Amino acid sequence: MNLDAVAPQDVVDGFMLPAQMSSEQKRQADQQLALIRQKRIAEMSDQEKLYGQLLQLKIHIEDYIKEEVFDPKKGFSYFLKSYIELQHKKKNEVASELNIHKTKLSQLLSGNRAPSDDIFIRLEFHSNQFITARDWFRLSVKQQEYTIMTNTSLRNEEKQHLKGHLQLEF
Amino acid sequence: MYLFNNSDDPPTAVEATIEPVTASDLKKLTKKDFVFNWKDFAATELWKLRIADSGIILGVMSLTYYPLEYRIEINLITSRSDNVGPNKQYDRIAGCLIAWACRLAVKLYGNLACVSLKPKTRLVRHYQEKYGMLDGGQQLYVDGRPLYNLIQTYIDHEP
Repeated sequence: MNLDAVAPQDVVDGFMLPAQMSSEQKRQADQQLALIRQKRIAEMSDQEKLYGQLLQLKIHIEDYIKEEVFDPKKGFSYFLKSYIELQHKKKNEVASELNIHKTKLSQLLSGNRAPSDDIFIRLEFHSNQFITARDWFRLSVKQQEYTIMTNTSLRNEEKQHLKGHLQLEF
Repeated sequence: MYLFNNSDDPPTAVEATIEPVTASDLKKLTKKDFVFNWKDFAATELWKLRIADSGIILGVMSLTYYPLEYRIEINLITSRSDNVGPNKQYDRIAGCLIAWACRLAVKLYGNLACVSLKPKTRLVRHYQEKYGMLDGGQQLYVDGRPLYNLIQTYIDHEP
């Protein structure tokens, strides 16, 4: 197939065709770009930095929700902590913005308190709807699912409460 | 993430998926169907794009990571050879794959993320116009807001 015969605007809709460059030309091109990027990074505004870091967190949350496995280190509180840290704000300040008591925020961050629906929604609006309540909710559900399936003492305790069960023979 | 199916009038949006290329996929990526010999790129990271409810591969992308520069380079993107030109069935294939590289870069490098490419000279202006690529001297690149815009347009946006 001769792509040179295809109009450039059609080529770029489906292809990225590389130029023929020697190793030396590539090295020089990369050096040149590194200098341009150094300058751009130095000139990056705080808003641009925050946006990039928030997007990174959002992508981590989205991908983690899709993963089959639950990592006990990555519960709701882990991502909430990351969300607060990237804003460089004190916990009291964030608690005040969310209009919740600082103790409640500490409990959420330590994992000693399960988040309720209002927290998911407040977090969505706090992030200017960047990270949705649905994603915060799904993080929490993933943790709950893990707990339900692995909390042996709770499972044994609940089993004792049963007064009957299905008789299945297959 | 979606493509436009031009065989419908008006064109309809169809859900697309991007996944790593497996060893068995590589056997299917013939030069006849995908223009290049993709086995030559087996040492790089390879991604494929397909319609969500179909196993047919519509596009392939080769990437190289430059972590010290917070940069991912797109070595090559090709669509199926029967999906080229003004009468092609699906639109947005390269856009979705480029945006996927941007998403990978942000996941790894956050606000420092950069995606670059070294395209043929005759295509440079068109990559700049269509994808907001910036002039990096002897190559094109995207970072910051234009990079985030690509993710928004091709990955996060819902039709």
